Amino acid sequence: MISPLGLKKSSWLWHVTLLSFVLGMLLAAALKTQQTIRFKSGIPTTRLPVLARAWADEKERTESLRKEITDLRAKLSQYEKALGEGGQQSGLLRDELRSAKFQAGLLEAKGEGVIVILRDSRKRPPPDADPQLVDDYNIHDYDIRDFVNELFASGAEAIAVNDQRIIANTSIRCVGPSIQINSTPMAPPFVITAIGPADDMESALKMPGGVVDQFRIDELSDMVKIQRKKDLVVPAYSGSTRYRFATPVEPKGEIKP
Amino acid sequence: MILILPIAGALIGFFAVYFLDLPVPPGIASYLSLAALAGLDSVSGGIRAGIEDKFEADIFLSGFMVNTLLAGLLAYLGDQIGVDLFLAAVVALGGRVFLNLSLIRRQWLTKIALSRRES
Repeated sequence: MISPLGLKKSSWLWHVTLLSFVLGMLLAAALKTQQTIRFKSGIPTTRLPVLARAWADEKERTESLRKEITDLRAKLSQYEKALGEGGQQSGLLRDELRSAKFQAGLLEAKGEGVIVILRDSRKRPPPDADPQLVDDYNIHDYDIRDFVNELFASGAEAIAVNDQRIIANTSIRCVGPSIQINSTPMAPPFVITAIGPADDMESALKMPGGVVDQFRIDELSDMVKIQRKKDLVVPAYSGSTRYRFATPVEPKGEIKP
Repeated sequence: MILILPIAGALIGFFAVYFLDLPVPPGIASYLSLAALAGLDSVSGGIRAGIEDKFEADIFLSGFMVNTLLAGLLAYLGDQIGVDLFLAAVVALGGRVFLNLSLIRRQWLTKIALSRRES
Protein backbone atom coordinates (compact mmCIF):
# COMPACT_ATOMS: atom_id res chain seq x y z
CA MET A 1 0.00 0.00 0.00
CA ILE A 2 2.01 2.98 -1.21
CA SER A 3 0.09 6.03 -0.26
CA PRO A 4 0.71 9.06 1.92
CA LEU A 5 -1.63 7.44 4.36
CA GLY A 6 0.53 4.35 4.65
CA LEU A 7 2.34 5.46 7.79
CA LYS A 8 -0.79 6.69 9.48
CA LYS A 9 -2.62 3.55 8.58
CA SER A 10 -0.10 1.27 10.24
CA SER A 11 0.00 3.56 13.26
CA TRP A 12 -3.72 3.20 13.99
CA LEU A 13 -3.38 -0.51 13.55
CA TRP A 14 -0.74 -0.68 16.27
CA HIS A 15 -2.80 1.39 18.67
CA VAL A 16 -5.80 -0.80 18.11
CA THR A 17 -3.68 -3.92 18.55
CA LEU A 18 -2.32 -2.65 21.85
CA LEU A 19 -5.77 -1.98 23.22
CA SER A 20 -7.07 -5.25 21.80
CA PHE A 21 -4.47 -6.89 23.98
CA VAL A 22 -5.85 -5.06 27.02
CA LEU A 23 -9.37 -5.96 25.91
CA GLY A 24 -8.42 -9.61 25.72
CA MET A 25 -7.11 -9.44 29.26
CA LEU A 26 -10.31 -7.79 30.47
CA LEU A 27 -12.45 -10.41 28.74
CA ALA A 28 -10.43 -13.24 30.22
CA ALA A 29 -10.62 -11.74 33.70
CA ALA A 30 -14.38 -11.27 33.37
CA LEU A 31 -14.91 -14.80 32.11
CA LYS A 32 -12.73 -16.19 34.84
CA THR A 33 -14.60 -14.39 37.61
CA GLN A 34 -17.93 -15.58 36.29
CA GLN A 35 -16.63 -19.13 36.17
CA THR A 36 -15.26 -18.84 39.67
CA ILE A 37 -18.59 -17.62 40.93
CA ARG A 38 -20.55 -20.27 39.14
CA PHE A 39 -18.48 -23.37 39.65
CA LYS A 40 -16.22 -22.95 42.65
CA SER A 41 -18.59 -21.27 45.05
CA GLY A 42 -21.57 -23.39 43.98
CA ILE A 43 -23.80 -20.38 43.35
CA PRO A 44 -25.77 -21.19 40.21
CA THR A 45 -26.27 -17.61 39.09
CA THR A 46 -24.97 -14.08 39.47
CA ARG A 47 -28.40 -12.53 39.01
CA LEU A 48 -29.03 -10.07 41.78
CA PRO A 49 -32.66 -10.84 42.76
CA VAL A 50 -31.95 -14.55 43.25
CA LEU A 51 -28.82 -13.79 45.21
CA ALA A 52 -30.63 -11.25 47.34
CA ARG A 53 -33.23 -13.81 48.33
CA ALA A 54 -30.62 -16.44 49.08
CA TRP A 55 -28.77 -13.90 51.15
CA ALA A 56 -31.85 -12.98 53.15
CA ASP A 57 -32.55 -16.67 53.83
CA GLU A 58 -28.97 -17.20 54.85
CA LYS A 59 -29.06 -14.21 57.18
CA GLU A 60 -32.18 -15.49 58.87
CA ARG A 61 -30.58 -18.86 59.36
CA THR A 62 -27.43 -17.34 60.78
CA GLU A 63 -29.53 -15.35 63.19
CA SER A 64 -31.40 -18.41 64.40
CA LEU A 65 -28.16 -20.37 64.70
CA ARG A 66 -26.58 -17.62 66.71
CA LYS A 67 -29.52 -17.65 69.07
CA GLU A 68 -29.20 -21.38 69.40
CA ILE A 69 -25.51 -21.12 70.25
CA THR A 70 -26.27 -18.72 73.06
CA ASP A 71 -28.95 -21.05 74.37
CA LEU A 72 -26.68 -24.04 74.16
CA ARG A 73 -23.85 -22.29 75.94
CA ALA A 74 -26.15 -21.39 78.78
CA LYS A 75 -27.40 -24.95 78.96
CA LEU A 76 -23.89 -26.34 78.88
CA SER A 77 -22.84 -24.30 81.86
CA GLN A 78 -25.94 -25.48 83.68
CA TYR A 79 -25.08 -29.08 82.94
CA GLU A 80 -21.51 -28.61 84.02
CA LYS A 81 -22.70 -27.20 87.29
CA ALA A 82 -25.05 -30.13 87.73
CA LEU A 83 -22.23 -32.52 86.92
CA GLY A 84 -20.10 -31.01 89.62
CA GLU A 85 -22.89 -31.47 92.14
CA GLY A 86 -24.20 -34.84 91.00
CA GLY A 87 -22.57 -38.11 92.01
CA GLN A 88 -22.62 -41.49 90.30
CA GLN A 89 -25.98 -40.84 88.68
CA SER A 90 -24.45 -38.28 86.36
CA GLY A 91 -22.37 -40.96 84.63
CA LEU A 92 -25.50 -42.90 83.81
CA LEU A 93 -27.24 -39.79 82.62
CA ARG A 94 -24.32 -38.89 80.41
CA ASP A 95 -24.34 -42.30 78.73
CA GLU A 96 -28.04 -42.08 78.14
CA LEU A 97 -27.71 -38.60 76.71
CA ARG A 98 -24.95 -39.78 74.42
CA SER A 99 -26.99 -42.65 73.07
CA ALA A 100 -30.00 -40.39 72.54
CA LYS A 101 -27.89 -37.87 70.70
CA PHE A 102 -26.40 -40.62 68.55
CA GLN A 103 -29.82 -41.88 67.58
CA ALA A 104 -30.94 -38.37 66.75
CA GLY A 105 -27.97 -37.93 64.43
CA LEU A 106 -26.33 -35.23 66.50
CA LEU A 107 -23.08 -37.17 66.80
CA GLU A 108 -20.63 -38.11 64.07
CA ALA A 109 -20.82 -41.78 63.12
CA LYS A 110 -18.23 -44.07 61.56
CA GLY A 111 -18.19 -47.60 60.24
CA GLU A 112 -18.36 -49.65 57.06
CA GLY A 113 -20.89 -49.05 54.34
CA VAL A 114 -21.29 -47.74 50.83
CA ILE A 115 -21.03 -44.42 49.08
CA VAL A 116 -23.28 -43.67 46.14
CA ILE A 117 -22.31 -40.92 43.72
CA LEU A 118 -25.13 -39.46 41.62
CA ARG A 119 -24.42 -37.00 38.85
CA ASP A 120 -26.20 -35.64 35.82
CA SER A 121 -25.65 -37.62 32.66
CA ARG A 122 -22.49 -36.78 30.73
CA LYS A 123 -24.41 -37.22 27.52
CA ARG A 124 -26.94 -34.58 26.64
CA PRO A 125 -30.39 -35.61 25.47
CA PRO A 126 -31.05 -35.38 21.73
CA PRO A 127 -32.55 -31.98 20.88
CA ASP A 128 -35.80 -33.46 19.65
CA ALA A 129 -36.33 -35.63 22.75
CA ASP A 130 -39.65 -35.14 24.50
CA PRO A 131 -39.47 -33.33 27.86
CA GLN A 132 -40.35 -36.46 29.82
CA LEU A 133 -37.19 -38.03 28.50
CA VAL A 134 -35.00 -35.00 29.08
CA ASP A 135 -35.82 -35.26 32.78
CA ASP A 136 -34.16 -38.65 32.83
CA TYR A 137 -30.77 -37.12 32.10
CA ASN A 138 -30.62 -35.13 35.33
CA ILE A 139 -30.62 -36.04 39.00
CA HIS A 140 -33.74 -34.85 40.82
CA ASP A 141 -34.73 -34.51 44.42
CA TYR A 142 -36.96 -37.58 44.14
CA ASP A 143 -34.02 -39.64 42.91
CA ILE A 144 -32.07 -38.77 46.03
CA ARG A 145 -35.12 -39.50 48.17
CA ASP A 146 -35.48 -42.91 46.53
CA PHE A 147 -31.87 -43.78 47.20
CA VAL A 148 -31.96 -42.63 50.80
CA ASN A 149 -35.20 -44.52 51.37
CA GLU A 150 -33.85 -47.71 49.83
CA LEU A 151 -30.66 -47.46 51.88
CA PHE A 152 -32.56 -47.04 55.14
CA ALA A 153 -34.85 -49.90 54.15
CA SER A 154 -31.89 -52.20 53.62
CA GLY A 155 -30.39 -51.51 57.01
CA ALA A 156 -28.45 -48.26 56.81
CA GLU A 157 -27.91 -46.73 60.22
CA ALA A 158 -26.52 -43.33 59.34
CA ILE A 159 -26.77 -41.50 56.02
CA ALA A 160 -25.46 -38.17 54.82
CA VAL A 161 -25.85 -36.53 51.41
CA ASN A 162 -23.00 -34.16 50.56
CA ASP A 163 -22.18 -34.00 54.28
CA GLN A 164 -25.75 -33.17 55.26
CA ARG A 165 -26.85 -35.75 57.81
CA ILE A 166 -30.29 -37.23 57.18
CA ILE A 167 -32.24 -36.96 60.43
CA ALA A 168 -35.85 -37.40 61.45
CA ASN A 169 -37.12 -34.12 60.01
CA THR A 170 -34.74 -33.75 57.08
CA SER A 171 -36.35 -32.63 53.85
CA ILE A 172 -34.94 -33.27 50.39
CA ARG A 173 -36.51 -30.95 47.92
CA CYS A 174 -35.98 -29.13 44.68
CA VAL A 175 -35.72 -25.35 44.91
CA GLY A 176 -35.24 -23.67 41.57
CA PRO A 177 -32.07 -24.96 39.94
CA SER A 178 -30.63 -26.57 43.06
CA ILE A 179 -31.58 -29.23 45.55
CA GLN A 180 -31.87 -28.38 49.21
CA ILE A 181 -31.24 -30.87 51.97
CA ASN A 182 -31.69 -29.62 55.53
CA SER A 183 -32.32 -26.27 53.80
CA THR A 184 -28.73 -26.30 52.53
CA PRO A 185 -28.56 -25.82 48.76
CA MET A 186 -26.29 -28.19 46.88
CA ALA A 187 -25.39 -29.08 43.32
CA PRO A 188 -24.34 -32.30 41.62
CA PRO A 189 -22.48 -34.54 42.13
CA PHE A 190 -24.44 -35.83 45.09
CA VAL A 191 -22.42 -38.12 47.31
CA ILE A 192 -24.58 -40.31 49.54
CA THR A 193 -22.61 -41.81 52.41
CA ALA A 194 -24.39 -44.65 54.19
CA ILE A 195 -23.13 -46.67 57.14
CA GLY A 196 -24.67 -50.12 57.39
CA PRO A 197 -24.47 -53.62 55.91
CA ALA A 198 -22.62 -52.96 52.66
CA ASP A 199 -23.66 -56.21 50.95
CA ASP A 200 -27.34 -55.80 51.72
CA MET A 201 -27.39 -52.15 50.75
CA GLU A 202 -25.59 -52.67 47.47
CA SER A 203 -27.77 -55.57 46.40
CA ALA A 204 -30.90 -53.70 47.45
CA LEU A 205 -29.93 -50.76 45.27
CA LYS A 206 -29.00 -52.95 42.33
CA MET A 207 -31.91 -55.34 42.38
CA PRO A 208 -33.82 -55.68 39.11
CA GLY A 209 -36.41 -52.94 38.88
CA GLY A 210 -34.74 -51.17 41.81
CA VAL A 211 -33.53 -47.61 42.10
CA VAL A 212 -30.35 -48.04 40.07
CA ASP A 213 -32.30 -49.57 37.21
CA GLN A 214 -34.06 -46.25 36.67
CA PHE A 215 -30.82 -44.73 35.46
CA ARG A 216 -30.13 -47.07 32.58
CA ILE A 217 -30.59 -44.53 29.81
CA ASP A 218 -27.67 -46.29 28.26
CA GLU A 219 -24.36 -47.70 29.37
CA LEU A 220 -22.36 -44.53 28.80
CA SER A 221 -24.38 -42.06 30.81
CA ASP A 222 -22.52 -42.94 34.01
CA MET A 223 -25.00 -41.36 36.42
CA VAL A 224 -24.75 -43.76 39.37
CA LYS A 225 -21.61 -45.06 41.01
CA ILE A 226 -21.65 -47.32 44.05
CA GLN A 227 -18.51 -48.02 46.06
CA ARG A 228 -18.07 -50.10 49.19
CA LYS A 229 -15.90 -48.57 51.86
CA LYS A 230 -14.44 -49.95 55.08
CA ASP A 231 -14.05 -46.70 57.00
CA LEU A 232 -16.78 -44.20 56.37
CA VAL A 233 -17.51 -41.15 58.44
CA VAL A 234 -20.97 -39.61 58.46
CA PRO A 235 -20.96 -36.10 59.92
CA ALA A 236 -23.28 -34.98 62.68
CA TYR A 237 -26.37 -32.94 61.89
CA SER A 238 -25.26 -29.34 62.09
CA GLY A 239 -28.47 -27.42 61.52
CA SER A 240 -30.94 -25.95 63.92
CA THR A 241 -32.66 -28.28 66.39
CA ARG A 242 -35.06 -25.67 67.57
CA TYR A 243 -38.66 -26.78 67.97
CA ARG A 244 -41.17 -23.99 67.78
CA PHE A 245 -44.47 -25.85 67.83
CA ALA A 246 -43.96 -29.32 69.21
CA THR A 247 -43.42 -29.88 72.91
CA PRO A 248 -42.74 -33.25 74.49
CA VAL A 249 -45.56 -35.03 76.30
CA GLU A 250 -44.48 -36.51 79.62
CA PRO A 251 -45.52 -40.16 79.80
CA LYS A 252 -47.93 -40.96 82.59
CA GLY A 253 -46.65 -43.07 85.45
CA GLU A 254 -43.13 -44.41 85.80
CA ILE A 255 -40.55 -43.06 83.36
CA LYS A 256 -37.48 -44.94 84.44
CA PRO A 257 -37.12 -48.53 83.23
CA MET B 1 -6.62 -8.76 6.20
CA ILE B 2 -5.35 -5.98 8.40
CA LEU B 3 -7.51 -7.05 11.30
CA ILE B 4 -5.28 -10.03 12.02
CA LEU B 5 -3.04 -7.94 14.28
CA PRO B 6 -5.77 -6.71 16.67
CA ILE B 7 -7.34 -10.15 16.79
CA ALA B 8 -4.00 -11.76 17.60
CA GLY B 9 -3.42 -9.13 20.29
CA ALA B 10 -6.77 -9.86 21.88
CA LEU B 11 -6.13 -13.60 21.82
CA ILE B 12 -2.68 -13.23 23.41
CA GLY B 13 -4.06 -10.99 26.15
CA PHE B 14 -6.94 -13.39 26.73
CA PHE B 15 -4.81 -16.47 27.12
CA ALA B 16 -2.18 -14.64 29.16
CA VAL B 17 -4.71 -13.77 31.84
CA TYR B 18 -6.73 -16.95 31.50
CA PHE B 19 -3.84 -19.29 32.14
CA LEU B 20 -1.92 -17.09 34.56
CA ASP B 21 -4.71 -17.66 37.07
CA LEU B 22 -4.87 -14.16 38.47
CA PRO B 23 -7.13 -13.96 41.47
CA VAL B 24 -10.11 -11.66 40.90
CA PRO B 25 -12.40 -10.75 43.80
CA PRO B 26 -15.94 -11.94 42.95
CA GLY B 27 -17.37 -8.66 44.24
CA ILE B 28 -16.28 -6.75 41.15
CA ALA B 29 -17.41 -9.44 38.70
CA SER B 30 -20.24 -7.51 37.09
CA TYR B 31 -18.20 -4.32 36.81
CA LEU B 32 -15.41 -6.28 35.18
CA SER B 33 -17.80 -7.68 32.59
CA LEU B 34 -19.06 -4.19 31.90
CA ALA B 35 -15.52 -2.87 31.56
CA ALA B 36 -14.83 -5.63 29.05
CA LEU B 37 -17.89 -4.56 27.08
CA ALA B 38 -16.73 -0.93 27.13
CA GLY B 39 -13.34 -2.10 25.90
CA LEU B 40 -15.02 -3.97 23.06
CA ASP B 41 -16.89 -0.80 22.16
CA SER B 42 -13.71 1.29 22.08
CA VAL B 43 -11.74 -1.22 20.05
CA SER B 44 -14.49 -1.67 17.48
CA GLY B 45 -14.83 2.11 17.33
CA GLY B 46 -11.09 2.45 16.80
CA ILE B 47 -11.09 -0.06 13.96
CA ARG B 48 -14.00 1.71 12.35
CA ALA B 49 -12.29 5.09 12.63
CA GLY B 50 -9.11 3.59 11.24
CA ILE B 51 -10.89 2.19 8.24
CA GLU B 52 -12.66 5.51 7.69
CA ASP B 53 -9.29 7.35 7.93
CA LYS B 54 -10.58 9.37 10.85
CA PHE B 55 -8.42 7.78 13.49
CA GLU B 56 -7.06 10.00 16.27
CA ALA B 57 -4.73 8.25 18.68
CA ASP B 58 -5.44 10.48 21.69
CA ILE B 59 -9.22 10.22 21.36
CA PHE B 60 -8.98 6.49 20.97
CA LEU B 61 -6.66 5.89 23.94
CA SER B 62 -8.44 8.27 26.30
CA GLY B 63 -11.80 6.92 25.16
CA PHE B 64 -10.80 3.40 26.03
CA MET B 65 -9.62 4.29 29.53
CA VAL B 66 -12.39 6.70 30.40
CA ASN B 67 -15.22 4.60 28.97
CA THR B 68 -14.01 1.49 30.71
CA LEU B 69 -13.72 3.21 34.08
CA LEU B 70 -16.87 5.23 33.63
CA ALA B 71 -18.99 2.21 32.76
CA GLY B 72 -17.79 0.46 35.89
CA LEU B 73 -18.35 3.53 38.06
CA LEU B 74 -21.80 4.14 36.62
CA ALA B 75 -22.86 0.58 37.33
CA TYR B 76 -21.47 0.89 40.84
CA LEU B 77 -23.39 4.11 41.39
CA GLY B 78 -26.53 2.40 40.08
CA ASP B 79 -26.08 -0.43 42.55
CA GLN B 80 -25.68 2.06 45.36
CA ILE B 81 -28.84 4.01 44.63
CA GLY B 82 -30.84 0.98 43.56
CA VAL B 83 -31.30 1.86 39.89
CA ASP B 84 -30.14 -0.66 37.36
CA LEU B 85 -27.74 1.65 35.53
CA PHE B 86 -25.81 -1.48 34.68
CA LEU B 87 -28.46 -2.29 32.09
CA ALA B 88 -28.32 1.23 30.66
CA ALA B 89 -24.59 0.87 30.13
CA VAL B 90 -25.04 -2.58 28.59
CA VAL B 91 -27.67 -1.34 26.18
CA ALA B 92 -25.72 1.78 25.18
CA LEU B 93 -22.40 0.04 24.77
CA GLY B 94 -23.89 -3.04 23.15
CA GLY B 95 -25.73 -0.86 20.66
CA ARG B 96 -22.56 0.95 19.78
CA VAL B 97 -20.63 -2.26 19.34
CA PHE B 98 -23.24 -3.44 16.86
CA LEU B 99 -23.24 -0.11 15.07
CA ASN B 100 -19.46 -0.06 14.76
CA LEU B 101 -19.35 -3.64 13.54
CA SER B 102 -21.97 -2.97 10.90
CA LEU B 103 -20.12 0.16 9.71
CA ILE B 104 -16.88 -1.81 9.52
CA ARG B 105 -18.67 -4.42 7.43
CA ARG B 106 -20.05 -1.77 5.09
CA GLN B 107 -16.68 -0.14 4.57
CA TRP B 108 -15.27 -3.50 3.85
CA LEU B 109 -17.90 -4.35 1.28
CA THR B 110 -17.51 -0.97 -0.44
CA LYS B 111 -13.78 -1.49 -0.63
CA ILE B 112 -14.20 -4.91 -2.17
CA ALA B 113 -16.72 -3.56 -4.66
CA LEU B 114 -14.40 -0.71 -5.65
CA SER B 115 -11.40 -2.95 -6.16
CA ARG B 116 -13.48 -5.26 -8.35
CA ARG B 117 -14.56 -2.37 -10.51
CA GLU B 118 -10.97 -1.21 -10.95
CA SER B 119 -9.63 -4.56 -12.02
